Amino acid sequence: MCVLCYETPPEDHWSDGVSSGTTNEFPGSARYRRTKILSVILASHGLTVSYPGIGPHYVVADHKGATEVAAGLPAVWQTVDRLASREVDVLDPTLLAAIASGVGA
Amino acid sequence: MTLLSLPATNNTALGRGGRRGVTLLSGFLGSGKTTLLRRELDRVNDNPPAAILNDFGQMMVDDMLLSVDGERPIVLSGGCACCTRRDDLAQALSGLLDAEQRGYTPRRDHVVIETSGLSDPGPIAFTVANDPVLKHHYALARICVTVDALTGLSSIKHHEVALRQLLAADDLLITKADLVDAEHIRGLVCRLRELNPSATISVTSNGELLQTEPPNAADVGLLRTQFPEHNEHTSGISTLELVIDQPVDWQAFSIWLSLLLHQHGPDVLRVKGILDVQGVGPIALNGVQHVVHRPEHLTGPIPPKTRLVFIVRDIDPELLERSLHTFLAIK
Repeated sequence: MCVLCYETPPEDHWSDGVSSGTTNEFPGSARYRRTKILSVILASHGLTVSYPGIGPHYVVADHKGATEVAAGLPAVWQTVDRLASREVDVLDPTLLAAIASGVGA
Repeated sequence: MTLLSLPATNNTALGRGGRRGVTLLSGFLGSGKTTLLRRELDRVNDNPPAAILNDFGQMMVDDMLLSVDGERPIVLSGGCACCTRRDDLAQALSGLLDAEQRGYTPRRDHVVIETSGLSDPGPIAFTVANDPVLKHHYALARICVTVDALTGLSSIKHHEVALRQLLAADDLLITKADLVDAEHIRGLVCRLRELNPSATISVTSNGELLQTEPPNAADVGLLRTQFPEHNEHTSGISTLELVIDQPVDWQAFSIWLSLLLHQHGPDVLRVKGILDVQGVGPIALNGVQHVVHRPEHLTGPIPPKTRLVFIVRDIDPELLERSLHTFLAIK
């Protein structure tokens, strides 16, 4: 448990088992990259994602001001289930079209 | 190494960060698991693994046949280790650690869990990989599944759990090959290969290896020009084999797979392959149902390209492939 925030560290997740995914490595770059990808995916559902710079945490928010902190990738999806008005489905053609239209943006 | 890939020496735990390897020996009722395990234990006399037996019935007889150094295996009877006896399995594995630390038993670098014939290997793998204590001491090494040469296909056709066992396998072991002719074996191997292209298939008789069929090219690293290839099955099970030429963005891939498992975990029966990760190099990925093991960095001569095998139920393989490529294209 963290002595500052009284939070139990989240379970190790397999997605954290690879140290990097980018060639130009700098501290925290993998987290920022992950945050950027999450932002692209969730934008079509009216959600934003930001990285507070602490551990595996992400801040997920909707446009009405509801905000939750998610500790780790599995917690992000659980938070999204609560905040999004419709299911974020990786096999949803509408989502895929939205992501494709935003690729490179 | 043996049919169950049990280590012959006592230093293999070093490659798993000091954790003990766990081999799951699964297979439908009467498919020859215990016979195979008896022969395997005979072969590794110098470095015997600990053994845990699980049986659906209350009364066990197999434990008397499977003594290791005079010690009988741990027995979990009266239910399946994937559900009703899941906590007992975790306690049994913890008990092994406790007995070692107290000096009651010698250290075993490997554990074989013979599951009941009705157990689903997925939840058992989840127990090993995610229990807050066990995950620091044990690592899943292989899932070996026995298939009766005579009745195996019928079991798979009529029993859901037999199919789940087959799809979870790293190694498929056809048993009782002496009871059928060579033509029947060839047909069985082809059918098993269709259902689980990522598994090694071995043909055995009375615990002795007769022949081995390596996994499909997509998993062993041979280059494929076709991209991708689909095998449809009437049972709703589909196999998607992917070869991706360019190095993969790990963050995009891991987000995609985690979201896929979050929404469709029960229908993603198997994920296995080697990824060429951008800036990192090759890693091995292994998942059974919703359980994905921590990726393993690979060294040595690994051919470039990402090769992945997905076995899914009621998921359109073309949509799955399109989805993956859409995520990988995110800049």
